[in-house]
Amino acid sequence: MARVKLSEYRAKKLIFTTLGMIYGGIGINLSLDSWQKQLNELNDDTKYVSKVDQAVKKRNKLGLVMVGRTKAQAIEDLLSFKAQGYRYALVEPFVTHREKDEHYIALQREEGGLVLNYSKRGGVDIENNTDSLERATFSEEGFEAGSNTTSAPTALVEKLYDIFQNAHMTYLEINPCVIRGGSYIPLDAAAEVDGSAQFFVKGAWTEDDIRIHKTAINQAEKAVEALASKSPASLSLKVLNPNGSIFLLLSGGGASVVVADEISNLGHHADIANYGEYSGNPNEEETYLYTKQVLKLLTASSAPKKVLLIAGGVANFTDVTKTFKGLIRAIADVQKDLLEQKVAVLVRRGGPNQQKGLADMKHFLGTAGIANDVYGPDISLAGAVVESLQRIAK
Amino acid sequence: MISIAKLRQVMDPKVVLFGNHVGIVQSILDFDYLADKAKPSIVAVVGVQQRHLRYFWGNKEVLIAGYGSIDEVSSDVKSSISLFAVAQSGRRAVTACTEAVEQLPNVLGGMIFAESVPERHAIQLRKLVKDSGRFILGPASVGMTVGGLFKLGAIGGTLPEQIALAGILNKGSTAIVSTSGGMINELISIVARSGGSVSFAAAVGGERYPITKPVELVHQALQDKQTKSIILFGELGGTDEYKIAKLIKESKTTKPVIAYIAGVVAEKFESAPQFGHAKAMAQNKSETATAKKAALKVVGVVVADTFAEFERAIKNLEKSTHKNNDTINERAKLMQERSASLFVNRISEDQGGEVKILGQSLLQFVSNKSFTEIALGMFLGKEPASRKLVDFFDISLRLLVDHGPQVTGAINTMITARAGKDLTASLATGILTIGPRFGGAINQSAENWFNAVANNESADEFVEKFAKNKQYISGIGHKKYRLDNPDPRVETLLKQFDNNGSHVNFAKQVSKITTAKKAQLILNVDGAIAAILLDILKDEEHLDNNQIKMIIDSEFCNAIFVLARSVGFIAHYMEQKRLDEGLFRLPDEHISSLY
Repeated sequence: MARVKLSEYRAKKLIFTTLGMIYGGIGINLSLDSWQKQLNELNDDTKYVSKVDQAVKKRNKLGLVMVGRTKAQAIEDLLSFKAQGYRYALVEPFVTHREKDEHYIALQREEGGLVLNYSKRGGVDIENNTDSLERATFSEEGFEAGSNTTSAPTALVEKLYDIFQNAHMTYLEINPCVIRGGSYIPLDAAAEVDGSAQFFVKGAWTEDDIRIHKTAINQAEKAVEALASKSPASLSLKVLNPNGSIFLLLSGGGASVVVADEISNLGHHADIANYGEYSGNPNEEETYLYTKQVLKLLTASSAPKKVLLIAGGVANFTDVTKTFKGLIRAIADVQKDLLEQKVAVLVRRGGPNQQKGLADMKHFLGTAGIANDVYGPDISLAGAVVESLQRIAK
Repeated sequence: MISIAKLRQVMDPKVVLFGNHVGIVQSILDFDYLADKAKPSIVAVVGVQQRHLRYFWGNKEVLIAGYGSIDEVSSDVKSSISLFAVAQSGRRAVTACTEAVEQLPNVLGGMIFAESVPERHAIQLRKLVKDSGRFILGPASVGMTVGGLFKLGAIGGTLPEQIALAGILNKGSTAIVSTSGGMINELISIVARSGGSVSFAAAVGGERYPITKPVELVHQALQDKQTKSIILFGELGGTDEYKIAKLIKESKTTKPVIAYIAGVVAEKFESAPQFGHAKAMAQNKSETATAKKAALKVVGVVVADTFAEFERAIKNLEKSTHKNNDTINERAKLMQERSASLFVNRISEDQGGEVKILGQSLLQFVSNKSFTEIALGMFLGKEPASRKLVDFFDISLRLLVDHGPQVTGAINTMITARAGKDLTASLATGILTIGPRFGGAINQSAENWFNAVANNESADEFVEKFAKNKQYISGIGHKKYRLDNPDPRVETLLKQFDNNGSHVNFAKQVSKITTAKKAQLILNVDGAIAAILLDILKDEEHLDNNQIKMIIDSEFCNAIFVLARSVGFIAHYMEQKRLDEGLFRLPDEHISSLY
């Protein structure tokens, strides 16, 4: 699993704890009926900050951070966030401070070690103040005070180093961090963690703390996401153009990019309807459900000529016969639509039990009367792409 | 760090797998078989509960040794291992790799198949290989192959026909370095279809911090004399290609290098989705496919702009160095028909009327052996190495043949005989009494002595442990014999076989402590046999602890007793028949009614 974003609530809770303070924020799941009850503990005479906590970039500019709010206002904010489709939010006490105490501090994992970026001029405009950044690199193997060549307080950096390593963070940005004398108060924090390390962080965070940037996620994408979360196989889907003409059913991390590249090289990137992959030996049912989602997109596309390209390299493990059974079942479900819309199906695949898989596919498409070409590894991936493009050009 | 030259020096590299991944293990065995190796290259699979794992060797079955952990593997086997493959989950990667590097003195390197190895662990493992001079491919690598020499991982295919068609059974001249596991198979396949084969091929894995870097593999390809050309498959994200470009420039190589960098499509989208692997995301312009392609072009690499062009370049490269080998393809095809048998057996076989025992024809096997020697060989599953074991087995059988008609098993046999039952039924009732309280103490005793000596327990601790748990010590104590009236069988055995071995010494120390408490608690015949046998297995047969444990667990000691005493039981049966005694009924005075 790749790097994933941690909720600001969890990130701050970890940072406050490591700094020996108690974090007074409340993490809220707006999709639960009980979320308003969580706010009962807020005081009527305290000022708060309310914000969306969902890995959204440029929150300030989007109006998703509200500062100096009363309890009532905070509730209004949350209702408004909810109305905009956001699911996770955060309410925390407002900290009064001087703007000149706002610092920028960030750590990130790189090949050569942990890189610290620090600036005395923190705040929202750090992008315009990159000249003020000081940089230092720390060893992976343990904190050494001598490595701190910046003017960031070493005591603070050491604490952050510890939590960064223990929580298997890959990126941590605190901006602004109020630094006044020996006290440090993080106002905004963004953290990214290594999704593969959950077992090793001993509960510092769990999958419930992972946030995905909220976009208008497509129904098909959502369905595949749900499917992927329950499967050891690798399943992903991204809609690039709902009215595209080339629909892809790809296998393998490398081969899928090669196919997309090749389409793009021939000037057809705008015609690509979707991208993604099914690989890591998914079973027949998973392949069926995955294919159904792609075919739903295909039949809904308004493009006049459409092609379904089922392609992949020579698989290591993925059983071609088994996965093709799932593909065939899904295609059979919509074969009438495919015939009506004159959709062509092009196949290029290799791997364990390829002969039977390819023969089954050829036989099915032929019997159903769907225009098709079915190839094994004897024609190249590139060749298969060229043929698919010819199908939509004719 | 990886060295192809060092790998080539190992003529027949042996492999250990961490985790039993059936697809990987079988495909490595299929490679070995098709490459005409005498034996499977995999000598151990660790992290499994079974002692033997059944796999195919061609169309026949073969047993691969299984171990709970690497600690259990004998030092001979450990020394023989050159390569390891971790097929366990990502969380076990650090432990497995560290064990491999620390415990395998001659290991050159290995691979990690799992995805989801934490980044910190990958970085830690990079340090491990740097410090130890070994190499690790991965995480998320499908492994590597050196043409004709070995296949480590799923690379090159997982079915015999795929392996045959991939051309990796030949010593080829093209090196392939790829970040993608799927594409490396595709490329091996393109090379083979073009008439070439690989000198070596290695998959780096698509994770953010690969432990072996692409540039290190390219460096090896430039150094390797057998490699005449290099094929490179890279992806957007990261800066490895710049290091490769620098290396190629400095090497002034004349070897053609052909490259494809995937991911130009990402540049066509304002906010591109993740195309492909975890690492495949350009953080800035220099990490885009286009920028990296340009850097490679400058130093003379043939950089394909399309995959079609890439394939054409590879085809032009290969000058049909190897012909498609029909014999191998045919052999591979036949292997698809194989199916697992219901039983495996190494004792004997009967094929078309020719009976073989332990691999020799029956007549040859029995020609100059006594019955004792035959039984011993068959019980052990192999012929004994030492004369001493034969002598000891023989005397044990002789001493245990009978111990009077009063003992439980003999009584049962006689009663059954007198009830009019036949030989087999009567013998069976006798044998069925052999167990923890009658005759079975040798096995229990062997287990006790063995564990105590293996764990360096002192005799005091040992006795105390049993006393505390209120348990009898098997092999100690007798109803009749005592310190002042010792068991003559024990004396005979010790006189002939006491060689000051660790188990006999331990048993004697224990007996010293127990007889001090009670004169009857002497070393009995079961305990003596057990201790002597263990010493002989260790000092004369030179077996390691695992092998000895396997013998104990197979109830070898019980087998001695059952075999010997069957003679006694049969004799008692026959005697009762000859005497024609009637049905036995217990006289009333021998039952006390408590009502």
